[in-house]
Amino acid sequence: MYLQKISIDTMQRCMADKSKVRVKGTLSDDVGELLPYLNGVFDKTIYNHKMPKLEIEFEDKSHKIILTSKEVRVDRLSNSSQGRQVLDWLKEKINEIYAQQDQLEPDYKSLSNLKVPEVYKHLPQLNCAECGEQTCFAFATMYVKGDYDLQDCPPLFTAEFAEAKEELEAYLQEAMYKQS
Amino acid sequence: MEVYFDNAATSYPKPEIVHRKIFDFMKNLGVSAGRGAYKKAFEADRLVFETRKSLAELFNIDDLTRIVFTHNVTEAINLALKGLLESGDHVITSSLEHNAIRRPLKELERERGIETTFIECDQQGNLPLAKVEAAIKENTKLIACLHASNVIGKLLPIRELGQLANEFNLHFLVDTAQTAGVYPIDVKEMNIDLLAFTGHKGLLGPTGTGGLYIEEGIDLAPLRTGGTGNNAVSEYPPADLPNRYEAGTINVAGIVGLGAGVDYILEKGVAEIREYELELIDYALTELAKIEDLTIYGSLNPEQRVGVISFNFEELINHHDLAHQLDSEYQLMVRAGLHCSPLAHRTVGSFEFEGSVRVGLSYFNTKEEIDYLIKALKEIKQAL
Repeated sequence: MYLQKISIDTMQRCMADKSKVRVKGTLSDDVGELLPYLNGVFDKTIYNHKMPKLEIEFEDKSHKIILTSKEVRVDRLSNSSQGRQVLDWLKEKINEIYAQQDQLEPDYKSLSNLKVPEVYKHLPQLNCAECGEQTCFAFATMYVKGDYDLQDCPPLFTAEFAEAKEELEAYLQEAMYKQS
Repeated sequence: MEVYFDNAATSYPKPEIVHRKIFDFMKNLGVSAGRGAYKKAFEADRLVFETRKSLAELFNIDDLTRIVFTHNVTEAINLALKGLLESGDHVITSSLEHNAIRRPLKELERERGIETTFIECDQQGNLPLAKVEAAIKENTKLIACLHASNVIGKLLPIRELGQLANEFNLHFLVDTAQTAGVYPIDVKEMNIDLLAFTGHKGLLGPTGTGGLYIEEGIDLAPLRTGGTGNNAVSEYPPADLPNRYEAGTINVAGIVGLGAGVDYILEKGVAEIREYELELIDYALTELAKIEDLTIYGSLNPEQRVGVISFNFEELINHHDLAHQLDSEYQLMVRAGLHCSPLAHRTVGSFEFEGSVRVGLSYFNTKEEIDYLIKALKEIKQAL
């Protein structure tokens, strides 16, 4: 077993939904080098290789795990028992992945490889604010931070911008997979 | 020699680790779980989580948040029955039941207008499955019964009852007071969707601990409401478990001790504990059966029992006097009376003697202690 313990340091109410709580914890061992492997194993991750930081959706539940080398945060929990359950699961997964590291391929697909101006270049540039941001540049900035999906930009999915969407996807594909 | 044979009431002694963990907690941590914003509170919370995790392993439960702590098995059964049953619902149970199931059912019959059917077991405690099946009606919602009798130790056919409940889409509540920790229990294999347990008997924890496993999809009305340490703004109890059913400060010290007890069992293995107890049961039954004029209630087949044995010198000496003599002259601690189970005594034929003497064996009893009991019984009998 590589990771010995994840201890909870704080438990606070969630910002968005005040009936929910979030916990922050500390890992007894540095998992920074394992993050690309975790990124490869889990679906629905958002990875930032520079920081490094990995966001994971917890199995079947609506909790979000944000993991760095030595710290972890779990959002949208109903109570502390759920938090412990998620952290317990995470610890087990990390140790499993550590044990099988030799047979796994690291996945360096990382949002941090993206350049905001390059993303912006392929957006519709209508500043329609349908995504919730005032400008397409703001959307590009937040997209690179992992706050949005492409689906959050409806005009991109219209016939008019089909070509732009294709170019953007090609860029994302190429840039995100590039090892930094 | 002092011998404790009342393990069916509360197990004693407990493994050394149980005392030590409770003492360590009380002395060095000692705070409420899940209520504070400091490290010690999170540590207490973690210890409670670890106990839930160990229990989940013991009973093969996937989601440990579905295990809620109560003060004992009686409270767990009350939560299950009162939280589930509504006017017009029908419940099937057995004639071996402890008052822990019988009384809440009778109360619900009177207060809420539920219907109950008590299936008669034979004198050996055999539950006729055909009669259970025949009793299932349109409005039957639940089969509720104990796993093993606290009077004669008889194991009920839980697997078969679970299959029946599954087949007819009924809920299945099992009172494991006499089996948890000493007999293998698997909620999935046995189709148990409500499992009530106590912490202070076979699970080797302290008194004041117990709990209920509630399968996902079942929403019980809480038995008590109040502070849960989360979502305090809401006027109503939270929907998520375990907090929904754990209003008020929980018994952290007790739960820590319970965790140590369960870990001890997991380390030994339930199969090994059962094997040792079977040896003791077999030996005790064989030796008791040799005593003239002693009536042993229930089956003499040890495989059909947990370590609970009831007997009487029927007309010769009252069970209370016998128990008193065993204690005062031999320091042998046994239980006498109805053991909160008048139905079971009626079923097995000891009600007319107002109950029986009961020996409750544990993993920590020995054959030498049984020899001492046999010697005492023979001497008392001779002097009558």
